[in-house]
Amino acid sequence: MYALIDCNNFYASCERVFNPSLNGRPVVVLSNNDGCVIARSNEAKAIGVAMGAPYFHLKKLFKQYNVKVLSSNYALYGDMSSRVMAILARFTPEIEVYSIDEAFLKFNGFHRYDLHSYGSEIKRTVERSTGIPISIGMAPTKALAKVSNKIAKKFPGQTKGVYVMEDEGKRQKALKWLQIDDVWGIGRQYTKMLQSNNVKNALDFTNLPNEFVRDRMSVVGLRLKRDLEGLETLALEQPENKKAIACTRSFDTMYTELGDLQERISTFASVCGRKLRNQKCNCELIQVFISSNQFREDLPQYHGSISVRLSYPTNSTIHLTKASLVGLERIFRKGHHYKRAGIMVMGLTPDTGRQLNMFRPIDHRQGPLMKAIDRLNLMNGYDLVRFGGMDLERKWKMNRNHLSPNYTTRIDDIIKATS
Amino acid sequence: MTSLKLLPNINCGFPSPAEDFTELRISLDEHFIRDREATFFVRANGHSMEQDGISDGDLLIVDRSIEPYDGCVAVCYVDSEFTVKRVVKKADKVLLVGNRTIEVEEGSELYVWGIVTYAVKKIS
Repeated sequence: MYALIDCNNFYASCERVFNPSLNGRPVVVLSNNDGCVIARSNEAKAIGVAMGAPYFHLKKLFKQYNVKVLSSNYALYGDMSSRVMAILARFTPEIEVYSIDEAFLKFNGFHRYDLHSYGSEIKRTVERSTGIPISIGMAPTKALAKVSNKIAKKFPGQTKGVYVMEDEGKRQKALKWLQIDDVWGIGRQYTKMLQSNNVKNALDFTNLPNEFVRDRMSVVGLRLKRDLEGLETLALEQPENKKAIACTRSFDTMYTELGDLQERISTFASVCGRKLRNQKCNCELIQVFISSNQFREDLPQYHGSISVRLSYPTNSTIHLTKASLVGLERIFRKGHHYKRAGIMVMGLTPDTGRQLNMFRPIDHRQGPLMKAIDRLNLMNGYDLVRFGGMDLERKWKMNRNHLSPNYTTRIDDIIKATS
Repeated sequence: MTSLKLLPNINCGFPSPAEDFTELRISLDEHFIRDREATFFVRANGHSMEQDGISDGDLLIVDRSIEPYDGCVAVCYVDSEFTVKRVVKKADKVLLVGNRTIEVEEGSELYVWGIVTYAVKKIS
């Protein structure tokens, strides 16, 4: 059996743990730079706040319904997520962390367990220990566990947040209930194609001939069909290192000077360097891009992008910065108003399998230097030790006007209780 | 100039005779945190819990995994604020005992947020 465990309205729930006055009140969380809505509490969904809606369109509605608006606090969400995942891992040796707020658990050899009460125990433990409410769906396959989870979430009254698809009757009933556009892994294009072939729900989908599904939706679609039929096809996936790492941002205003962009790009390079070192990887290629504001049709538009190959795989912030600044100078055009920039590092190779270059010696001092910088920054908060090109005056802060405290990662931000 | 390095540095010192008997240094986390995932820190603010050993400014170690029990010292959320009190059941009421005792009537909202297991105080 598999379980899909999903945190309910995760970002809003994290905020509520440390600010219980938000319980029962509509809560929305905004994207970086307070651009648009990326998370909503049930109350916010009920008053019709759409996912991805731009914040400035909704200010009036938010005022009218006394909606609590928050900037995204990823330090908090990340810590709460790792707490939840670590607790889940106590209940089975096989777990796949699927996203910041979802995990698949596999229960092999749990025949003697009453999975429903085991699920309730998982739910109780996570909620008691972290304050984050979760929903649990269990079924013989991953795709069906996803369906079970939808049922647990949709009918909290009957399921109490835990649903086990334990027999064929329940499987059929569930698939008949699930609309085709709600099926995990079926996007808009496939939905259209399937609907035009009279497929309305997930059960109709499983009744299609295998050849048709393979023909129209490739082997990926066929695997999904088999998984939904209850044949274990999709396995737990082991965490894999990322193939590329990116750091891109929109600016709070538009910039015209090369110096400003140089500062931004240096900062991005240092973020990418840190991420590379965290996953013990080096990169071979670095891509730099800058672009003007596409929403300002009155201004000339420009998008510049360039790839710079490094002389050997590296994760040193110094190398990455140098390379990306060379790239930036090549693509920078005077006279444009830049609104967005970013870098992406690619061609990642693990530290252990680094290909040396015959003619360019590796600078062996970089590794220990970066390690020391990372340790200092981890102990004292990010970016205590920075490079000269980076933002030293901190004038580039993201717009995060509604940020909650870092309750679990900064000692000065912990909650206070009158005693 | 291009230098060619074939081997990394190799340390060839005499092994320390104590190497096989090293023990890990005492860790405060290990002794005062029973459940890492359920443990949160809270700052005490005020003087009403002195009789329970909690002073103004103490760092409280709060374990949320412990079920509340009669007589526990807990961080509670009541009347829109966090407060540290000893939770005592009395007939159909719950008392939050400190210098100033709060009586929580049945039906009104009391949220026991987490159990205080230790208080860390600055001595000098």
